[in-house]
This record gives sequence, C-alpha cells and structure tokens, in this order.
Amino acid sequence: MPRLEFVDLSVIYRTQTTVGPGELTAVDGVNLVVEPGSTLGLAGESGCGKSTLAMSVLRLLPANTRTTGKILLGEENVPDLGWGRLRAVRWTEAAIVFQGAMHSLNPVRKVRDQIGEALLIHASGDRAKYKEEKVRDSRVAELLKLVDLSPAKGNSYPHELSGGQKQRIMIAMALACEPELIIADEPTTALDVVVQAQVLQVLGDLVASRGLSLIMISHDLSVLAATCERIVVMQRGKIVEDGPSAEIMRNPQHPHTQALASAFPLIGDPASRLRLPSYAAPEPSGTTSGGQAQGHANDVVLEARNLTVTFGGRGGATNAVDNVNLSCRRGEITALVGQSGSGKTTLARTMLGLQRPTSGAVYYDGNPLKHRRKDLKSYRKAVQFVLQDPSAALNPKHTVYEAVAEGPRLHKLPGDEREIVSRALRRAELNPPERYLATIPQELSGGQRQRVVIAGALALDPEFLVADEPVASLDASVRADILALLLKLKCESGVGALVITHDLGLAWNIADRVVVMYQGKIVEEGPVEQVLLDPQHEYTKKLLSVVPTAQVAADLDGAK
Amino acid sequence: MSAPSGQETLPTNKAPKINVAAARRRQRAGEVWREFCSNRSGLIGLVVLAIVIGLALLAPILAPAETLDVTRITAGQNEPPSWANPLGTDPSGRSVLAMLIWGARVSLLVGFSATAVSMVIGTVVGMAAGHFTGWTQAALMRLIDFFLVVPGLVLAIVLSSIIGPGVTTIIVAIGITSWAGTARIVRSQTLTVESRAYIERSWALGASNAHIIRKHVLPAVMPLVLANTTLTVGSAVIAESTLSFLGLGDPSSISWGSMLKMALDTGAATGGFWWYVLSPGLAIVGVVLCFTLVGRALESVINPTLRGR
Repeated sequence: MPRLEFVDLSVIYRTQTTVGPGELTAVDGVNLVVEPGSTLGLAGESGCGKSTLAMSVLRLLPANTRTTGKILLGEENVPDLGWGRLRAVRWTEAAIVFQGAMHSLNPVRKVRDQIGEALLIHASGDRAKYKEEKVRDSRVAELLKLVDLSPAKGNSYPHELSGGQKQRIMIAMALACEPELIIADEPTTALDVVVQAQVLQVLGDLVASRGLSLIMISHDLSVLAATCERIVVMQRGKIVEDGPSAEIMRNPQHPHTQALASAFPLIGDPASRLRLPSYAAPEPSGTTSGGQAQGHANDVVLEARNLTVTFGGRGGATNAVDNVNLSCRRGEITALVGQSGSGKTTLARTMLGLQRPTSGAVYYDGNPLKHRRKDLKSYRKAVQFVLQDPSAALNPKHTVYEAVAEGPRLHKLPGDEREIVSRALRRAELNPPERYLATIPQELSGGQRQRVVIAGALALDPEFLVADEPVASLDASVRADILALLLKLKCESGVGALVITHDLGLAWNIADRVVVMYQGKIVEEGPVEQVLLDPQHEYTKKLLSVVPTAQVAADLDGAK
Repeated sequence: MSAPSGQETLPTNKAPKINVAAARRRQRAGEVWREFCSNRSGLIGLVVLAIVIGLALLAPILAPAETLDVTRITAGQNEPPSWANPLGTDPSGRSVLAMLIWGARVSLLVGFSATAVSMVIGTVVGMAAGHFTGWTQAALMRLIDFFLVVPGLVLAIVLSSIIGPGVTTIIVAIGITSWAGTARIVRSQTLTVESRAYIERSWALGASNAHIIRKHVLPAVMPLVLANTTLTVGSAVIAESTLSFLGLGDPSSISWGSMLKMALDTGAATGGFWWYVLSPGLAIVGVVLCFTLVGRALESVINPTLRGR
C-alpha cells in the first residue's frame, strides 16, 4: 500500500493581472506525510490552496501551473511520471471524489456507464476481465451496493437522482478500481445536513472496512472531525496546524484554527450562545436580549396566519408552505430552520410580499399586508431583505454608493443622501465608509459584499430584517463576523430578524427563538435553549442528531 | 464612442462621487476602445466608414451642386472614366463620382435614421416583453412574432405606397419592419438579467417597474443593442437601396439605390456602361461590409466568448 508524501511542494499559478502577467503561489512549501490506512482532514478557507494540493497528487492541475518539490506516491515522484504511467496510476492507486457531484457527472449518460468507464479504461493486467460487459456490470452493481444504493439505480440519469445519491455515485466511481488512496474534495459542501450525515457515514464505513487512506478536504472542521483521525489546517498555501482531530477541536493553537473552530459552534456549549469571537451580546439585564424578549412577549411585528403557498407544476400542485402560523417579535432574532426543499425560502419571500400567498395572510403590526405596490411601499421601508448570495445580490455595474443609495432614492428619504449612505455603511461596519463608496462589488470580498447588502437594507432604517441563508455562501471566519453584525444590530439598535438557515449552529449562536420547518409545515417552535437542548418533534431530533459536532467527535474518540 | 455623462443631477456636495463614477466610465470606455483597436478588421472598417462619412459631409465642397445640374454640364453622355470624370458620366452627362458622393448622404442618413427608429422600438418592446408577465407579455410577443414572419420588404413597399414616396417614407418603412429581431435579442437578455438576485433585492427595497427597467435592465442590454445597431445599419443601407431601386424613394434626391434604378432604366447595364452600374453597387457592398466588420468587432469586445470565432 503506497504512502503519500509531499516534500517541500509548491504550486505556482501564472495569472493575468491588470499590471501584466503575475504569479500566485497557491501551495507554498508544504511537507506532509499520509501513512497507509490513515485518514487525514485538510481544512482551510476557500483560496487557501487545499484543493490545489489535493489535485497535485494526480497531476490534475491546469496548464498554467508550475510545481516544485516532490509528491511521492509510494516510490514514485508524481511530477516525473511519464504520461502512460500517470494514466495507469490515476484512479487505480489514488482516486478523487470531486466537489459538486451535480456538475461532475455527465447528464446524458446513465450513471452505470459512467462508473463502468473507469473500469473499462483500466481494464488491463489483472483487471482485464472488466473488458466484458457482464463482468463490468456485476462489478458496478457491487459498487452501488457498497454505497448503499440499489443496483437498479445504475440505470438512472444524473438528473433523476438526489444530491446525496449523486455524491454516493461519485464515491462508487472513485472506488471502482480499488484504489488505496481516496481524495474527497468537499464531498458534502453542497448537501444539506441530513444527507451530509449519510454520505459521511458511507465514506467513513468504507474507509474503516477496507483500510483505505483518505484525504478529506473541507472548510468545516466538525465534518473533518467526524471522519478523520488527523486534521491539517492550511492558510495561504502553508500548513499552520497539524494534529489529532480531537486535539484540534478541543484545543486549537493557531489563531486561524481557532477562527475556523469557533465558526461552527457546539450546540449546547454556553461559550458560543449569543456570543461570537468578535462580539458578545451583553448579559441579559434590563434592556438586553433575554429581558427584551420577555418584555415584548406580545409585541408581534410580523406575523403569518394560516399561510399557504401552492405551486402548480407537473404531477399536480405542491404546497411549498402549508397552513403556517408564524410570529416574529420586535427586537428578537427568530431562526427558521429546515433542510433544503422544506419551503423556508418561499415562506420568507411571502413574508416580504415578493410572493402572493394562495390563502392566509401576512400581518404587519396587526394589519394584513396588501399586495398592491403602493400599499407595499411603506411596508418595504420597515421590513428589509438580506439575500443568500451577496455576489449575485449586487448589480455588478453599480458602485457601493449606488447600491446602498438605491433604497433611500426609491423612498425619497429626506436628508443628505451621502450622509445616509455613510451612516448605513458604518452601521454595517464598513469603516471608513469613504473607502468603499466608489468601489464596485467585484473589488470586494464575499464578507464585504454581504455587508454592503446589509447596509443597503439598513439605509432605510428598517425595524425588521428577513435574512435568507445570510452566511451560507461565505467562508467560515467571515460567517462569524456577519452573524456578529446581526447580533449587534439586534442588541444595540433593536433590529429584529427572521433568519432562514439550515444550520442549527447559527440558531444557537444568535437566535432567541427557533422555528423548525419540515415539508412546508412548522413542526416545532420555541426558545432556542428549549428546542435545541430538549427537542420534542422527531424531525428536530433527527436534525440535531446529524449535526456534526464535537460531541460526535468525542464519541468516535471513545469508541476507538 | 462617447461615454454617457452622469445620468442624474445631484447636489454639488456629491461632486466627488460623480467624478469617481465618471472616471470609472471613462476608464471602461478606454478599455473597450483598446480592445476594439486590437481587432484589425474592425479598425479597418471604422477607418473606411470615417472616410465615407467625411466625404458625405463634405459633398457640397467636393462636388458643388452645380456639377449635378443637367442644364449646366459640359461633359457628354455616358463618357467612360477619364481624368475630368474619374468614374465617367451618366446618361445625362453628370459625373458619376459626384453623384456617388451626394448619394452617400441619403444612403447613410436613411441607414442611421431607420436604424435608430428600429433600435428604439426594438429595445422598448423587447424590455417590456421581458419584464412584464402574463397578458402584456403575450400580446407583445405576438406582435413581435407578426413582424418577424411578415416579409419586411413587402410590408415596406405597402407602407411606402400608402404614405407616398420620399426619404421619410423609406426611413419609417425600414424602421417599422426591422425591429422584431432586436426585440427578441433584448427580451432574452432582459429575462437573463431579471433572474438575477439583485433584481429581487431591488423589489424588496420597494422598486417600481420603471426603476428596475431604467437602473438595472437598460444598462445591461445597452451594449448588446449598440453592437446590434452597427449590424442593422448595414442591412438598412441595403433596404434603402432596394426600395429606391424599386422607385419608392424621393425622385429628386440621389441615392445609391436610385442610381442603380436609373442605370437599369437607361439601359446602362446592357449598353456596356459598366462604370454607372458598378460604382453604386460597390459603394453599397463596401459600406455594408464596413458596418458588419465594426459590428462584429464590437460584439466580440462586449461578449468575450465570441472571440476567436
């Protein structure tokens, strides 16, 4: 079984910049050994070079890269391999589970043929028998069983499978030629929590039962802790921390690791309740969160009564939102939790008046919301929207100034426009505002863009925000900063929020109340501590059981 | 290509911001210009067009109107090219070169005006068909479909025979019959833009239809419309020649199409007076080719995926 070793590996990209050709060092002098049969987690933010490092093992890097140093796979140095030998090594000794199974499968071929393709290409030597279709088909059926799929699924096309099933097909594909090393590049990033747990389970079992080496890449430390013995943290192309999973989770040394670890809080850990690295809610006394929530217990700002939204489509109508009653109180953060497809985004859009309800109504300050544009205008000023993907939510042609000033101009807010914009940017913690006024979105980082979106909402001085997955597309460390901002707005300005999320940790971090949604219905709601620490409904329990937390890591540790 | 100056007048204390936005626009225009210049064929097209436009503007100086006055000319009929008349003379003894220069005025005027009419109608209808849904969209789409399937030339002939011959007639006829393709393109671009999240954000901020169209959709479809414009000018020049050739133009003014018609009427083609047939024909081909080259170059600057095709 080969041992994988990186010796002083650097990977440099040649890039085009505004001042001519430039160089970007993605991996910078990495030394790392992966012993046979061990599992290694590679953590870091996007752009830290973790995927580049993994792809270099099979020399799958684009043509504009230059590699120095050695990548030893067994006895052989991968950069020195001849083309024929490299092709033989690919997939038979090391295989990759690619990121985003949705895009890595060919949409016009049956998945069975796609799994069989790897077998056919490598049908030589002792695998020559796979040249026969029958033998190959039986091997594919066997592989599908390995990943908990019925062999009949092999006849499906990728669009007929769910995200989790597609990811399992990718794993089956990686296992086809019985490689000894599997590299999984963010295998669960695009999946929701329940499916993520299933995929991790399949991967973990396979590695344990077959004694494979596994390199798993993720930005989520808890995912890595759940499957890997050892975690390596990368930042700017360098390894900054390396150690056993439990140790890294419990006692991170490097500040970057600490930031990554704190971004995914442990549910039930008082240290992360209403507390983030950069901001902590003041202790509940008088006007602060706890007291406020009780003080205004009946002060409902936004309310949905018997709300139903039905979408027509093939195979009859679907109730995306099914007879939902929901109330959001002034100065309180309510988290709406559910997995993808549970109707939470539709509920948010309906609450905002962007979608007409089929029946039922939304009430604002006790008055039903009318869907005429004129009637909506004053509502829009009071209740604002923060979107999921800040890169898409800003017009790439507009400067930050124009994006933030859009709301005030539409509502013809009195006062100096420049002053309003600067104040909104300052409230969203873009300091000093003058630095950002003239920039366009592509010049900002993801976190800064999300702040601009929030500033655009704050410019209207709303009393309530509806945020749809506000941190789902952001990096771990940025996530904590944005959540801190929402928490700070609540505590210091009394801006309440309905935060839609699939991430229970987020609810634990900032929310006062949690509402759990399942298949268009609300199945459980109540204060955060009550719902998350003592769940009543089956679905809530299931959601909580699959959140990879340090609890899981500790259990794994104990089992070994 | 001139960058549009600040679209809104803001109080003076916002001056620094406006300057920044204008500087950014200037910089972007500079980039487009540099990329355009790197496209050799587009640049050649632009230079030739500039020369043609210059000649047309200078027509009264280069070829004073008297030279076309049949009562005052001295040259004989149907003279072959000579030093005095480089492109020969027509059946009335007028210099073909002078006619060509004067004809460029009408041809280009009709080309540009008809294109402007067509672009305005196409952009407005296209954006409306993409932005609104339901009944409005259905009605607009059927209207577009109608103008797409009706043969443009036939409709133009009918229109000009109703309104009566003349340059304005030709402009209106071409403009009204050629906007449907533009509308389709603009509509598809509008649909793409409207599915972006920033439109949703704008709705949530309380935007009106007019605001969405003006601030988000129009700037996004403008580059496409611009590239399409230069391509349409070419076909408008051809359409003008065709209509003039069919005798629907203003009989008193000279255009390249009417020169061809006269050449046919007077038997120049069969009589061997090639200079009278070939000159306006080549002029049309040359100008249309130049517009196409410029249009293609602009298109590839705006849509980088077309480069190298």
